[in-house]
Amino acid sequence: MESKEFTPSESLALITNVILEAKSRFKDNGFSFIFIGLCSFVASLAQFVLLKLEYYRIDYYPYFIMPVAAAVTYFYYKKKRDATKSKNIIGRFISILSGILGFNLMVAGFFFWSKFGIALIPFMLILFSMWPLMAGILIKSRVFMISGLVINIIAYVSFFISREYHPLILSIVSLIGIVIPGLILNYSSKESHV
Amino acid sequence: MYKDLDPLLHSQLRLAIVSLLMTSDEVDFNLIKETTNATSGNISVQIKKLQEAGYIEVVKSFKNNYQNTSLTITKKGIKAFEEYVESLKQYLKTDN
Repeated sequence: MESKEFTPSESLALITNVILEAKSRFKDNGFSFIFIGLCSFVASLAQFVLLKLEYYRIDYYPYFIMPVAAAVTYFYYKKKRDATKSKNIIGRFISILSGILGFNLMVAGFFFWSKFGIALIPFMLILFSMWPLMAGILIKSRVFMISGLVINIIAYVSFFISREYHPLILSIVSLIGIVIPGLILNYSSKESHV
Repeated sequence: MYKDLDPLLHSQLRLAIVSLLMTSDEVDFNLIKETTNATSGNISVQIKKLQEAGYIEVVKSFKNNYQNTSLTITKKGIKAFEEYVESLKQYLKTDN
């Protein structure tokens, strides 16, 4: 590229190209949604099975994979961010929001579960819904916005469902509301690089 | 020829740099090189011009023991870019 003058239409084409290239670089591959969603699916389904088998004392053990999943996701994005050679305010906001939500989910689940009582999983689902909802608004993804809204509605509906089925609801929500939109994002991200 | 267009931005390389900065908070020198395919020398000259005009800020730091140059756009730069795009629209309108 030279530093010569050019026509207004050439100028507009150049701006468009640079912005489109930057946009494709920032396109998330959905890793966090797929990975965290799968871990949450496995953990909550395992809790449901443990409860059904009457292992009440250890039913929360599967959730110990969540802090590990959060750490793996953090290091994955840290490495990715270093490689992109640029910082973007939307990406930064989503990662901070994910961190805050993840921290609150873990604190509520591990330390305040008895205080929340029946409201624990609905509360966690309300927090959970913020993640795809906010990400969907920021990256302008209808799939994420809809899944966030659906999780939000399910969260309130789950107050009327028996407590023993709450982990099952969480596992279904993780799979349908988080993993599947993540896979769609991953697919569209690959498509845009073809 | 194009009187209303900011001469500082109406240059391929400088416009590419500013456009790139409009998409991010902070951009590495290497990313500018990759995006524009221009030489380091040429990029440095254009960065200096933009910096002198107050359109961008240059931050030099060390990353993994290597010197790292990153750029950010200033408020003045954002305003100049927006005005430039507006002027472009006017030109394209009259052309049509």
